[in-house]
Amino acid sequence: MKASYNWLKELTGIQVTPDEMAERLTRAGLEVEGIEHVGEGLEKVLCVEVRSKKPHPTKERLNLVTIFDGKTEREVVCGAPNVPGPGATVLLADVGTVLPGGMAIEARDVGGIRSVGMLASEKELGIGADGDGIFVMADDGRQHIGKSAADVLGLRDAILEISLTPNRPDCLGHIGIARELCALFNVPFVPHLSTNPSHVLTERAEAPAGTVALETVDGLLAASAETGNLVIPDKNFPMVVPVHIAEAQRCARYVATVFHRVAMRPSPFWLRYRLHTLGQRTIDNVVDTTNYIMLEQGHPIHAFDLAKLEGQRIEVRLARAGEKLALLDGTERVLHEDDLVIADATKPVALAGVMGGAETAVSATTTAVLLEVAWFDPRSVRRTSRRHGIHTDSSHRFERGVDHGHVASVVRRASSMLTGLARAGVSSIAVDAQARTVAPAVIPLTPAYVRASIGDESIPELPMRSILEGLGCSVSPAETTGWRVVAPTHRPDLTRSIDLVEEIARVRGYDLVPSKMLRPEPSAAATSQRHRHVRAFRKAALAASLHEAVNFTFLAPSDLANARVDTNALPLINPLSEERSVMRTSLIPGLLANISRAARHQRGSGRIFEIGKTYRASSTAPAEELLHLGIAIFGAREVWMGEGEGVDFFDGKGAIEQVVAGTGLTVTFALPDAASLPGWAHPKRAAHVLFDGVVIGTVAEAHPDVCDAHDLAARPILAELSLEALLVARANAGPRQVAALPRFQPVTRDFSLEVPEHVAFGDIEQAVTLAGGALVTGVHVFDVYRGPGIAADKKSIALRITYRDPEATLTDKRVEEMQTKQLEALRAIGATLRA
Amino acid sequence: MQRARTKACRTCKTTGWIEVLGCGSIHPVVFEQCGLDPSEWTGFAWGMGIDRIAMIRHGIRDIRMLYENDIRFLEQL
Repeated sequence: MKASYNWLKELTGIQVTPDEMAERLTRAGLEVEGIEHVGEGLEKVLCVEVRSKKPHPTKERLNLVTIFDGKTEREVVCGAPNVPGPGATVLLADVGTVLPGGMAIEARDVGGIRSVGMLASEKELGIGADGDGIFVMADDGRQHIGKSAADVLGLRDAILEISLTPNRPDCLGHIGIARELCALFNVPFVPHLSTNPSHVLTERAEAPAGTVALETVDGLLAASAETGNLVIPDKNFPMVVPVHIAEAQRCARYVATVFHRVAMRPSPFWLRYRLHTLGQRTIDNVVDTTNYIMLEQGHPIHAFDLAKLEGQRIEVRLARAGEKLALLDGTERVLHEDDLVIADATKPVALAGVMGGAETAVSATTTAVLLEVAWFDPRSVRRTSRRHGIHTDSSHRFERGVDHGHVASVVRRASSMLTGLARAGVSSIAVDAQARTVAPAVIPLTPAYVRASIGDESIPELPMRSILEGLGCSVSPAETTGWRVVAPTHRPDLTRSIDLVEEIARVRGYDLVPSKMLRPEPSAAATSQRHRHVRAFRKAALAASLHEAVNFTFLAPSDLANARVDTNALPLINPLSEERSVMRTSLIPGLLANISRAARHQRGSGRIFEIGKTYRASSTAPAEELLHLGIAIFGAREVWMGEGEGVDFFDGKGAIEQVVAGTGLTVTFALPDAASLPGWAHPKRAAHVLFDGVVIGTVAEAHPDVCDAHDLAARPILAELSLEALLVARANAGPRQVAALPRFQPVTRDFSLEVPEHVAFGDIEQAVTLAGGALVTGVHVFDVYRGPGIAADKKSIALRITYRDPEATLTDKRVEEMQTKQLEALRAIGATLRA
Repeated sequence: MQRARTKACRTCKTTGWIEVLGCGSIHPVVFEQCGLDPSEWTGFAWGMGIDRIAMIRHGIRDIRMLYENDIRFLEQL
């Protein structure tokens, strides 16, 4: 919210510098993010009188203008098309001025004529948007000749950029900020605003049947001598327009006021200047007035061209299926049946609280205006605004909650300004449709509660009360104890006792809240053991040369499908975007995204892991959250010299063994049947990971379809396992135990086996270990061979088996006994000794 | 956290300050939503935006780097 320092000073009478104002607001929670000083550098811009003008002797379209600056006459060259005749007052940027655009004014020759200074436009001076011609003062400016334009026109201001929290809609208007400032500086808030219309229709209108009327000015006709001019009604237009609210929950109140004989024209300079400095475009006197009222009162209002409203009635209703509305921003929208609209007898004419329609907008030909001052439900406006992607100054305010208590005074204030600026006659009454009353919050409060919440027993009652009253609350004694506080209608955020405590603490100053050192007491029960074990896995993974990735838990449904993981994901009720609309069911999609990102950046290899939660629907809890470990290894193996070979399944298996071993546990691997594999796994190059005989995950080469979906040339190795069982086991395992060192020598034997392709090393290891008994202490592969000499569906595996008896030296005889049993066991699974 | 005031700083909007630890009293509605009686329970909560702290600590210029999981970034930390 941009706020004008001058305007706030007018409304409050507080005499402080912009910096002091900003400092006080910031300390009270209305953060002033910046102060922009406008009108700086305009000291040498003078009001001067045009004495004469003539065309430039050599240059076409240029004029030689003789001006009088209060002391002397001089000649300046001017290219503007609108140089006024003698006697008019214009603005001269004298030599030495640096315009806001950076242009420095100096005396220079233009086509052989010396020009001292420059006649400037609003745009060049940075005081308006009009750059089509030089600035000409509207009324007789002769008394100001020779004076600084900044002083005469009030061009110095400081614009405070206030970052408002959403709970303070009251400060989206200068009145609200002024009220806040008065409370902060502890002075009474009395805004001096004119609410008397200058032009009133001579005939007293009657409220249409079935409607209630609001007198725009009390005792209007009786006071007509004072309020000024009477205007004869235009017989082409009614003086009142009936209003019907069909949706009471969405529109609590709608006041329609009619203006006749409206003179559409540009606004006066002071109004254009104020809107310009606050970042509003100026259009014409009627639209500018509605914008000014919005910036002043924080209440968006809208002007319709009464001639364009069919049937000359207003209906507040929901849009009908298929209805369309061309809006002021030039777009045409197909309305939704949940959109609240303002309609005339036949069609929607505005998206309520969001934006007006183009067809019924005021224009240069408008002569009668219907002014809307209404209160719309914040949720209704927010839904429509979001649905159509339209965020306006109006929707911004209605979404946060506009004051419903000041509707009548906004009507009077707007009528006063419109009659003055457009010389329009206002109807003596406005139709006031009130569908329901929004009750103000009544909140019980005791001083003891305030003191306890702030932690300061010494706060007296009187300042508490005066702070609340300063903010607009009415405070009366409650029936039993404490106070009964009625929150003001402009503060929809005050609903509970604690909200009032916050106001008291805030206005007093948070720096006055006493500080106490926290003395936490450590508690063994408070530390999470699970967390400790999770960290062990993380450390083990880092020790296995894997880099940790942390991916979002929200994904797009297509991410799940592309990675061929479980697509039955929990959807978010209110997702930020389609890209982040479901909870992940697996870590694989995130890791794949990381790999394809690396591939796009010509980073061809890497080893990453992620430890994180996956989410599934559950019948017992809102969701089942399982902690998973995911690993992705891709590209070439890192070798110390030359280029490494591409990674394969065994890199993944090795990484898992290493990580799990790092935590003191052991997992085993088994060849799965293809049907039990997850979709992302290659059907042939995969293994299940087992812990305690139960499958906890899979390690595999990525499925070719997955690689295609992610544009991966080489197939990465992926693994995903649940850590839940491992964490429980680790928690129960206790510290690692150490075995006594062996006193006797080991014996090793090498075997060269011929094995059918489908037999895995795991099967061989199991057979050898079971048959050999406790004395087998190691089974290692040292060569795998396929090719000449071996049948096509077989492979040769070279094993080294280590035997050791902890109690005695092994004899050849005992080793041979074991070997015989082992070879028998190997034969049972199809493995034979190579000849 | 305060650093020298510089005109160019967009992060702190030239105030020299950035917020890294939001804190405040817990609103009674929060207790009610958790099934606790707010007349019995009060609380004070605070929390660091760890990404911002990490940015300052490790000289990370762009917060998005923390979410992209670029391997060249991960390898540096």
